[in-house]
Amino acid sequence: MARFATLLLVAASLALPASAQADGPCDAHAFGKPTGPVQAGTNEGGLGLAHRVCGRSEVALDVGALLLVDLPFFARLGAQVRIDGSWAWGPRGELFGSWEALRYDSLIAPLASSTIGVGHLNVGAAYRFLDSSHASLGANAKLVLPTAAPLYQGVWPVGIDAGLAAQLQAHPKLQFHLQLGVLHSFGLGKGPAQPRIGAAFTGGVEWMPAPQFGLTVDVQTGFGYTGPVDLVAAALALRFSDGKRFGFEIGAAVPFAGRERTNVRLDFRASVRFGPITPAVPPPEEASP
Amino acid sequence: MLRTRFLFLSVALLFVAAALSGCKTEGCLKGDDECTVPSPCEAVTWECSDGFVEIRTLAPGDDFPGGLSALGSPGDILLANDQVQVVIEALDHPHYLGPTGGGVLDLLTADGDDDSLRHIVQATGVLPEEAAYYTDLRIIEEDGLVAVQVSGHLDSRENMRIYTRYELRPCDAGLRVRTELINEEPDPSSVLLADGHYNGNRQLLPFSPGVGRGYDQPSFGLSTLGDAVLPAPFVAFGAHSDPASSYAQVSCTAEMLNGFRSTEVALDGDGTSLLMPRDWRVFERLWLVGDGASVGAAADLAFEARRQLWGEEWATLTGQLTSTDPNPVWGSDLRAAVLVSEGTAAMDRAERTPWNHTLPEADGTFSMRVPAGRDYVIEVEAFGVAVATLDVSVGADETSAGDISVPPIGRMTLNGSVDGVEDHLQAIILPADDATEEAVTGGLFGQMHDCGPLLGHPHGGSPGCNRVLIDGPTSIQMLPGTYDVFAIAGPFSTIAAQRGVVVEGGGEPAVVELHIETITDLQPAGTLTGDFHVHGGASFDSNMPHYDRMRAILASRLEVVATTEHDSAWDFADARAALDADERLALMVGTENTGHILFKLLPESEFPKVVGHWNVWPIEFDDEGPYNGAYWDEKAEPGLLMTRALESGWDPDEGVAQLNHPIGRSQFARDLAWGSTIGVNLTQPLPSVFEDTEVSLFFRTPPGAQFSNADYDTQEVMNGTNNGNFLVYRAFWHYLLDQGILRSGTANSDSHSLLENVVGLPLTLVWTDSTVADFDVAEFNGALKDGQAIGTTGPVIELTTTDSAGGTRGPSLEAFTPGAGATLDIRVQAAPWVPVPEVRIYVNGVLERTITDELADQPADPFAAGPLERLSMSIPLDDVLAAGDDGWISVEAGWPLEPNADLDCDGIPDTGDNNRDGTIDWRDVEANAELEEAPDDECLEDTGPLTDPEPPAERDGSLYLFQAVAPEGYPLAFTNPLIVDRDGDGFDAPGVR
Repeated sequence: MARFATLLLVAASLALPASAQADGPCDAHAFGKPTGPVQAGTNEGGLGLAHRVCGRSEVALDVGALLLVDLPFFARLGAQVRIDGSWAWGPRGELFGSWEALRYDSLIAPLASSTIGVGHLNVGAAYRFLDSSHASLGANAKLVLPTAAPLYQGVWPVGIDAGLAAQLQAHPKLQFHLQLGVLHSFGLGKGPAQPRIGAAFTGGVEWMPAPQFGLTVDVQTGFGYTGPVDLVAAALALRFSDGKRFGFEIGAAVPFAGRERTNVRLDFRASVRFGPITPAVPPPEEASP
Repeated sequence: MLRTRFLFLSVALLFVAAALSGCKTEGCLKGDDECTVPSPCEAVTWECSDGFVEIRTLAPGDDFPGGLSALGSPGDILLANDQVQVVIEALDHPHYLGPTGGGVLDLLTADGDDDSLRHIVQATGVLPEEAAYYTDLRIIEEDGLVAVQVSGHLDSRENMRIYTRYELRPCDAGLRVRTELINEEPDPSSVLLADGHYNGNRQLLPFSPGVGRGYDQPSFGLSTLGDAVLPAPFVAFGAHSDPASSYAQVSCTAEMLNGFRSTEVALDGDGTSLLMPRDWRVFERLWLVGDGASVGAAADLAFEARRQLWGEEWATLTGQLTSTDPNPVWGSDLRAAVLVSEGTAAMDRAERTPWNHTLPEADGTFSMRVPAGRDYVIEVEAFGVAVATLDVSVGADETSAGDISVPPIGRMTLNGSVDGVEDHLQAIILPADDATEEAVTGGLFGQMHDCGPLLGHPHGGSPGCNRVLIDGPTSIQMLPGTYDVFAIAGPFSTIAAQRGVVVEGGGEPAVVELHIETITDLQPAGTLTGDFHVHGGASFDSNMPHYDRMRAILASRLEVVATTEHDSAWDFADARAALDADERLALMVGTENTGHILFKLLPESEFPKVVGHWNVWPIEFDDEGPYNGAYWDEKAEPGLLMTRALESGWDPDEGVAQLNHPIGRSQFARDLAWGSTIGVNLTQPLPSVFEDTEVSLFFRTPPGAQFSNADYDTQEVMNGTNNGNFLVYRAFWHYLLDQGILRSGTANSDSHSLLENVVGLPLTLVWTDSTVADFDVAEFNGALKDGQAIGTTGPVIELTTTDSAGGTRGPSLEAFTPGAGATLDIRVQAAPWVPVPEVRIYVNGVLERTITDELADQPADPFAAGPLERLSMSIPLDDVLAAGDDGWISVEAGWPLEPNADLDCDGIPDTGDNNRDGTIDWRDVEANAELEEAPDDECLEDTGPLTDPEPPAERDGSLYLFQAVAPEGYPLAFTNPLIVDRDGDGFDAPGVR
């Protein structure tokens, strides 16, 4: 898998012109509409979830839900209210974080149980190191902190992931994104550390028929973290924007192969972008006197 | 460069992880190979003088801990101190709900052979994959303590690690237990880390303090389990038998236990919680052991443990029961029992909080611990009836409730004989009038079965419920009233009845004379009576002492009995010898394979199941074996069960494998009936080959088995004295006969105690050359397997015809060619107390003829020894089975059967005319009580219940008399089939109707 990703990155690099200063894929996302991989993932705290290449400053409120039905005796229902934030650090860098301000987990079984409280907090950074008219390449990493206190009683789980990401523009209305990453987690406390290491690959396409609307379809995969194949999932997101600072995303991920038992993960995200933007629809010019 | 940075980052993270993983751990939470679970409940100490402790692996010839429930065997681990004995089962000796050994098998006092515990296993829920599966057992001996540590994982879930340490120290009043559970699965799990306490249904009563609780525990099903999980400061279990131990569980890691409790099973831990990956739970508790019946002795220990653990102060509440009885006999289980509840007498009973329950000493004094500084109400119960109530305030110190006056009771003496000689018989005592019935009917502390009168533990020895075994003058204590006392000594004897008026206090006891005669001409020559499904105290759901079990068998006049303990075996030969009855009874030790652990019959099965119940006999009794000669009978299809029997010494040539109660419900989510397990539909033929469906398992030979699932010999057509499911069992039997799957039909009592099923009612009457005096196991079982038998609760049917060689043919699975002009010769006899209003002839499963007019009237004197004959007639064979046709014929005699219909279209009767409107439809279905119009589906989803014959409204009449000695039953007999092969080319079965 790593070799494949390397080849992919090399191929993308070859597509770059000699100068990488020209307008690139990120310039198509210079306003509030979300971009990059679908933000519906199945790992705790967003671990291993691919991150966008095109950084920005924004805050977002994210409401997510998770459903697992394993008949006849087990089901899992989860919901989170998450606050995301990111800060564009210079033209290429980005610091980001996410906090599950409210999290509800319910296991439906003959003896059912549930918890409610605060959830995971993650912080991360991303850097875009190559831009061209057709491709942008970057790297990102994040740390998932053990803040989900009500959920864990005897262990403090910590996670970290890192990835190489690319945003490729095939057409002004069609872009591709890719991320190849590694993820790692372990537990702190009296119990087992049980370090887990895995790889994740996410690839997808963004179709933007109109500036205010986009459709993203991803394939999320994971390997070696909880099983030989953690998951192969199809993810889809509908993205909207007012063409200015606001963005909305309705996303879903449906694992269909691998060890992952979750049936569907849903995500609704509303964001406000800060800092300089280029509105999708220029304001009407003032009438000439 | 980039790669270098990532590599550096990864290495750094791994280093951090490795460093952090070395955090101080506890016990086995990290899963180290040589880890040791810490000592449990360090905050609790017990004091005594000359305390000691020992641990050893039980070896052949050892003096094993005793008691009705004791099952310890060589290889198991014994922990003992000056107070208690504990047996931890060897890993390869799993019992009941445990997929492996490592559970607590026996728990008893140090000096008494009073084990009353069935089994304690660790679990995180009720599903099969939530039970502990132990793979390692280690003995720990340290200064001042001994322990056994078992480690493993949850069943089929290797990443759900579990460790349990059982520890005993000198002076400890019970077992210290700590369990650690670690989730190394990638998904969260809902867990109640707990002890599963298998109560077995008819033995231990759970008791927990709580508003409206005590012995009253909420009922639940799989979908309502969560609602039944309730907090309790401790949970106690009382055996209410003699000898008995009582038990109490106290958590050391949480102030309250949380769990559900029933007479079947209890599961108590610190609480249900969501266990995330890498997270863990620890549960420490005490299992305290009290001496004697009720829960008082163990509950008192629980109060002391909680004082040490949680600072909950207790005080002793004492009192003195008094009565105007001239010589009151206190201390017996039911004469008086004292329940103390927080609250007042003015409060509704459901609003009080029961805290303790005890039996008085022989002098009428009682003493029990309760939380200090509260108001209580004392209730005294005698023979199931509340007889005294008293308010009392308890301070910080010992408080006396003073004298509590309890109404006097009376006595009855029962004299019995058979043929003029004192002998074994069973008496049933019934209220003779409504006032007595109302005054004396009650349950054991409001639990189990209501009995009127309640004379003893409903599932214990004699007297039990309202039944008494007599073998000489027998004196019992009971509540005053007017009673009719009946006595029976099997269906082939007269019955006796006499009214007795029991007066309270010092009056003379009521004396009833119960004299029975054997009806010598009723049992056909060349037959032996048999019951091939009988339980005693060795079964998890029986509390009946071995000696009384044998007395009941002797009272039934049975000649051959296969004792079939659930998952175990017991040889009653000692009891038989002690009763000088070796020449009266042939015994065959058997076992009833009873599935406890649910498993998927097929990978694609939606629900895990068990395979119903199967009897196998004879097997060799092994007093020291882990199952007393039986074998592990879980997670196996019937063919594999028979294979395990074979491997443990069962000889299929001379032995019998029997399908018990083939169709029916499940109990505690465990299937009781193989036919229902695999979902047979009696309107469709059984698949002849396995085709990856559950129903096609019928003929499959399971992997590793030497037998097909269909290689059984006999099937119960009648089970239980009330024959409530006769129509269902018979439908399945006919269904098989129709397909040429010929199995001998049997009639068995499935008796577990004196209550419910009376042993020997029904019985199987076998035509055999064998005799009791010269019992030939192979010959007798061969005749039984060949179907040379009838089943009956009273009527005796002699069904014969002639074959082409002029020989006489009776019921048998061997096909024959009838002679020209052969007749069906039917003779029905019955004791005068057995009404026989009709005889039915079934041909190929279809009712061909009902005979009523030709029957003789029931004799005028039901207590006489004759006349016996009710019918003797011959019918040309061709009149019932068309000339030239093959077919099978069975005859029934007895009470008219209630009409019952098949509303869910599976060919099995399921619903009777319950609203008595003359039609059987959706309105008769109990689950449709709320419906106002017929469901759309022609085949109903919900059905039932079946309707039994209506019980007599008055205390007279022939059925009332019959039911007095055969409770809830009705006269019924059936014959095994005549298999008619007209042209000698083999029996051509008619096929599914």
